[in-house]
Amino acid sequence: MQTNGAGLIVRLLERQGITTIPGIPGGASLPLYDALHGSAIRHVLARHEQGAGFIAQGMARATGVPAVCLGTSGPGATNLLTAIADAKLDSIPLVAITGQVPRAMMGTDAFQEIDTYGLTIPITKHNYLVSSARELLHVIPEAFRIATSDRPGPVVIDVPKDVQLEAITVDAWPEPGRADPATDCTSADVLGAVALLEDARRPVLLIGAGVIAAGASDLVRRLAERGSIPVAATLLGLGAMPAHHPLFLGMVGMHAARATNLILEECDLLVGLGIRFDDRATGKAAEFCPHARILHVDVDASELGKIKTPTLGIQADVGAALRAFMAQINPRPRPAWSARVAELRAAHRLAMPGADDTCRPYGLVRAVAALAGDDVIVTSDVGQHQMWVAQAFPFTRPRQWLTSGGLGTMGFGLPAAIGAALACPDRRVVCFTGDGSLLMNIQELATAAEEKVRVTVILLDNAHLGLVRQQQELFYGGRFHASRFVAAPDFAAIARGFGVEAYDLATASRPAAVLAHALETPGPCLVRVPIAAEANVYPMVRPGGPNREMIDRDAPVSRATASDDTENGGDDARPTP
Amino acid sequence: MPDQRRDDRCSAETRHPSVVLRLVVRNHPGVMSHVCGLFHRRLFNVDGIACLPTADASRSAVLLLVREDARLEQVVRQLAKLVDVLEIRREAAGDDAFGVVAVALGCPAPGSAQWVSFGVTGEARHQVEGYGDPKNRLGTI
Ligand SMILES: Cc1ncc(C[n+]2csc(CCOP(=O)(O)OP(=O)(O)O)c2C)c(N)n1
Repeated sequence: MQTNGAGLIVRLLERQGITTIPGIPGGASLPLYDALHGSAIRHVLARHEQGAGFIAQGMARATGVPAVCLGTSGPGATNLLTAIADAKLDSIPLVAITGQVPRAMMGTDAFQEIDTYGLTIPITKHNYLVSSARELLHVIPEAFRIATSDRPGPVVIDVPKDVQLEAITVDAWPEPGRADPATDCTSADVLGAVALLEDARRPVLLIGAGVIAAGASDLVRRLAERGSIPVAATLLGLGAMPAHHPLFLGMVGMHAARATNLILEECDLLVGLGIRFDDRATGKAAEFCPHARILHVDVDASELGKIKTPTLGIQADVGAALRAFMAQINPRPRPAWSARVAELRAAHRLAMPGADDTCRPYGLVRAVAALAGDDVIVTSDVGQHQMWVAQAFPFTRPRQWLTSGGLGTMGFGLPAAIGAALACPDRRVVCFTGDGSLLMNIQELATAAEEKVRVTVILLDNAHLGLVRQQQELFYGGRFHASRFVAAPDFAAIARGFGVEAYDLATASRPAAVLAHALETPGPCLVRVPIAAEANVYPMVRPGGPNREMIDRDAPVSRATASDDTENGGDDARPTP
Repeated sequence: MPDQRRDDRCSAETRHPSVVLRLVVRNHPGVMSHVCGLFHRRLFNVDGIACLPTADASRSAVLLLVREDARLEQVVRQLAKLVDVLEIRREAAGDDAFGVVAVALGCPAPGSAQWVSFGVTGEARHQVEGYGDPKNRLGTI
């Protein structure tokens, strides 16, 4: 076949099974767009490259299949960076292809030249600067192999314009890049793990994104049932175990139900499956599960012992490991532990004030869940609303809950929802967002309208950067600064301006009926819900504090002491009682 | 590539014996950015680097002079994840491998009386338990 570098890329993407690519064109990627012109691949024109990156992420997160996004050189590439970094921290298989200035001009500060390769080294699993059309024959399949193998992650392929235009004759096509076979665990590992499990009187499973990536949700549930072991999840592990399962304890960490953190406090064996002991989950790491031995299974060897020293660390695919454990584990009731867990749960349930009121956070989340049913896919932005959803939405299956965990990127929710809707057209997608977050990628309402995706945006509008306000209230003596929006945009009017149906619950006489209608509209729709600025997420572990010390709604703390760094969790400042 | 920011925190007490890692990497212009960037980002210290193409010009060999301390295992595991790093092993000659380089550069030889290793290692992460705990070691490298 006679083609050029750009034609080669498109052909290789088709062979990979790629059918939809979000992106924005520009001078350095025009040959690629010319090649797409003759392709069956559907290009989705985002309105900002960060939107394109998150649309691709939404596709990848909803399906587990790697997704592609496109940007041009210079600002196209820099605008993609946040979405790429987000994919790195949450281990999402993403292949970002960027145009670059022609090689003859590289290094001359040419128009829209930026060192995309250098910029993306720290935020990718791997990256390429392609120097000939022929190289693409192995780079493209290898990029997909790397993005999906073991611990998934983003790969960047930077392609200079002259390489896109270089003529090439292809005689034989490479095989599409596929994930390497899953890493098995050794029989010694299995013996060790089984011994730890048999020995444990008070075990807990803590599951994370690795379980979902490995497709090991059912195995987790079966292991839990067989061993009568309660299961907690990290933010990204939600959905891997059905919320209503009697053994499921919900989310662990900073905004967990108090019972969940206390149960982890008492466990004598923590089985960490596909988790990385993130500080939002562990609180002060040194005091996390203080009485427990730790069995840690992760496909990434560098996670074993990075934060917590495991009694046994097993580098393996979580699914392969669980299958091996299951073959050797006998059913085992643990009546004393089950009773203690039940006791703690009864005593320290998550309080959900306003759970019956559609216009209050928990009530809204519950109402949407009830109306939308189990088939729905839920995305969120970042802030209080994200935590309310994580606490209260009854997720029943993996890949139902798409949220930016590691990077915590405001602006994730809407484009990710569009991506999920493109990838799963028969499902309704709900995006819970805040007024701060929505404004970060609100331009993608245009994309949503254009693509007529079944996305319902539920906007919790508190006229604040709510989570910032909450931290200022709790840890900075109530000295509010730069967390309030004085100008209040009319979000319903804005949405309508984009061609998106919109409702405002502030003026609705029957809010529940409006919600029900909004969740049935065939195209995109936005519902604005006014939320009291004072509504906080509780309980809350002070950043850097141990998980057992949780601040409660009804146990006011002194608002005097600022922790020295609320973001990295490394401080020891304590709000004085 | 000593990290100057952390000079002030180094002291004689934090000296550790050095170890030399020998990597085989894919030889292309970006590979050293990957290797050096990793050390910088993860707050690992590297006292010396030497790099030359191998007889097979598609590969380069890299010598890294690093400190033999509790975090070495984590360094090695992170290096092993780099797609361009094909092989990692401990150089048998120890820090003598840098003797010739030291002479060429007019610098104190590693391990000599004038030798000062840069920076601290675990201290910045003391609140993170288990960083490089010997129990986590994957065995010999
Ligand atoms: C891109 C980005 N910038 C800043 C932050 C820091 N931050 C975390 S939560 C938050 C407030 C979010 O406000 P909003 O989206 O309105 O949600 P709310 O907390 O009010 O529910 C901010 C500014 C962030 N996570 N992401």
